[in-house]
Amino acid sequence: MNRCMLRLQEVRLLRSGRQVLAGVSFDVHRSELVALMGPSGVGKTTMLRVIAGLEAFQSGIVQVEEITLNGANGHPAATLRDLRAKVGMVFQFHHLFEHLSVLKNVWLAPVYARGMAQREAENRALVLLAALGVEHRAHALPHELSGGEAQRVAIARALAVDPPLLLLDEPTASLDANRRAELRDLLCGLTREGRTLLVATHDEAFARDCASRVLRVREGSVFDDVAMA
Amino acid sequence: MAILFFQCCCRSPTAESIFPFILSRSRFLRSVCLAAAVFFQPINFVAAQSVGEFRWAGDPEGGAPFVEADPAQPNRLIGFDVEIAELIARKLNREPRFINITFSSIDQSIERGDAEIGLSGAEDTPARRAAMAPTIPYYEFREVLSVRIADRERYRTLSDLKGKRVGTLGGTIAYEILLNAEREFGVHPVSYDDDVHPYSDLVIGRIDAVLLDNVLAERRARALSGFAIQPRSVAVGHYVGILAARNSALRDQINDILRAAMRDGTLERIFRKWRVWNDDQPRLYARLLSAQPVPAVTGFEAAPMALTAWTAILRYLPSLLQASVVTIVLSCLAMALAIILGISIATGRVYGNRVMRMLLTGYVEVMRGTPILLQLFVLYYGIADLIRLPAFGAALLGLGLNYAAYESEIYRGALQAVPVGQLEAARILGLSESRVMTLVRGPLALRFALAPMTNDFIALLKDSSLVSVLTVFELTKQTQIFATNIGSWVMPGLLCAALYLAMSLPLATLARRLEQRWRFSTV
Repeated sequence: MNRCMLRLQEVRLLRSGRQVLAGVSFDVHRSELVALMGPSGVGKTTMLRVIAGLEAFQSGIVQVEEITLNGANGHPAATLRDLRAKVGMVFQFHHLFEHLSVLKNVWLAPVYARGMAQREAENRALVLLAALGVEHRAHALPHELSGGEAQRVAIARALAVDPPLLLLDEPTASLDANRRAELRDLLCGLTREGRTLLVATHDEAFARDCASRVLRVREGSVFDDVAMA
Repeated sequence: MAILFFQCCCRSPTAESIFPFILSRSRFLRSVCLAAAVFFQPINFVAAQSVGEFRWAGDPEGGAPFVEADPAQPNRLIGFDVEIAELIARKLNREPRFINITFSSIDQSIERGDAEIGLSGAEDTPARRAAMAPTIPYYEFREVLSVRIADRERYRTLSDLKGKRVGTLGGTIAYEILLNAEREFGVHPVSYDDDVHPYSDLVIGRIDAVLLDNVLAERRARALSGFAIQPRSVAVGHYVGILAARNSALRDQINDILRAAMRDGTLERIFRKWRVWNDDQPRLYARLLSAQPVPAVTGFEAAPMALTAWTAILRYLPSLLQASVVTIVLSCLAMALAIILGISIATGRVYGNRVMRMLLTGYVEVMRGTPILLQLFVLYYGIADLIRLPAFGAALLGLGLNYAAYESEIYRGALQAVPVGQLEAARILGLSESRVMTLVRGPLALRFALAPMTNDFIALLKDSSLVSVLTVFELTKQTQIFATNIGSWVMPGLLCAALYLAMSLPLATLARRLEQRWRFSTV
């Protein structure tokens, strides 16, 4: 079995004439938790968005298992559909659906994107919320949640469609020390279940404690790849 | 002069043949004229200071043969009322000055001093005799029934028209007669704003008969075939000049002038010139000159003379409430249509290809860039030869299609205001674009659109008054008739405003509550 879950080869992205990604190349193996680190504005979030198919790029290749996004040819709808069965993403600002309850945020995609029965999806959502410690907020609206609760609901929503590769953008940014420790445990647990995680973060302690590798990013490219002990 | 010029340009025979639906005695022109009249009000005021002028009021909109623009020289007025006004002015050694007043507002305008006398085929009624200072009658007319030629034998009198639609001008004696016939024989009165469309609607079968003055009926019969005037008259009435009660001295002077004109044949010459002289007039003049009393109306018991405020409310409230139901039902249905079409247009403009976007943008610009009244006229009268829409259907379609253009812009803006993050979150979860629209973008956009939608619904509720030009009898039209009949806008206006508020305030409250309930922060 191929160990490689994700591969980026010479990905270049220009935005309004400015080079945002300057030939990014790296691999991520199954069940790894890889941290993308670097100061703000170097292209970490853009890398995640490119992998998720949210942003087109000019050249290079993004490969998620057998699915290939080719910068030169754009992203056909069928490729994107297949990609989204493989890749989940937790945004820095969560982007929970503001008009829906926490529970519906979590069961919406399993029902309407994967065709799961609503009852089954609701039960599964409740299990996920319980595992993340926010089942008591199941009927709250997103604007009623704290930052930590919203973060965990966003993770539950992403996990509800069971993606083998999960992208997280600054997951610890809005959390205090206790919440950060809880999240560390949670994400480590996900890798033990066989899920692959790519996390863009500033948080050195998080990277040190959780990541199997750290990719250092500068001016739109990865300049260092360090395996952690 | 500018007002007159505008009116006259629009009423040239060539233009009328091209746009018959626009150029009738309609509220469209009336609204434009009113606006112009307001603009020129200071000029009228200056004129009022000039003692050498005799200000007389009339409505030239479809006012033939009373007051109309001369087709040969559109900046000049012609008609028998014009000649009578000139005669009176000459005898008073004053210069006649025409003041353009809408037909239904003549009493109120005279009362407030816009002009000294109203002359525009104004009817003599007991209410006018009680509240104003009308002149002696100068012309006797007959209320006559017109029917399609094929129905000539079937519909001879109002009692033959049970369950049938009979058209007339609102706020006239004929309308009162029809209301009476509704109670007595089960006739359905249909009120028009002009005296042209009742006859064209009769010919194409939208209504079954028309009850109007013989002067109007005979004039239409000369221009339009397909209907016949029944010989038996339903009632007899008279045209008078209307002055304010405080002007009774001037009224007496004018009465003397009219009597002299009856004696020396001046009035006969005027009416003969306009082809409306008949045997009724010498009989009327003989009675007037021998000081015999002439009842305002014969053959019909007209409305009581002066109503107290309370009696007026009791009398008109049921019909106002009935008209409110028409207003609210029409507004709700039109808004529902506007919302459905508006959402479709907005979705097409956001998601559609270039051709679709161009077509939909064109629709929006045409509907927003042309007057809603014009659209209503086109739907009801303009395309009547192709599709004969019922009045309510045309009104519903007209309002719905027009408001759909405005609604679509609200929804387009709201769809574009939904944060991109929400859409990306939905897409990354694997939801298809149509699911993103129905489950996330649409519901979020609805929250942005709610306040302007409520605004639009309240605006539509008020704009629904425009459909009275298509004979749909809604609240404002009923109020207008109420006001015309009692000669004052105070009580009808207050009642009408209260009913509109009763309809719009709960809606605004509901919208505010929904907005509060749906309030959230979006990132």
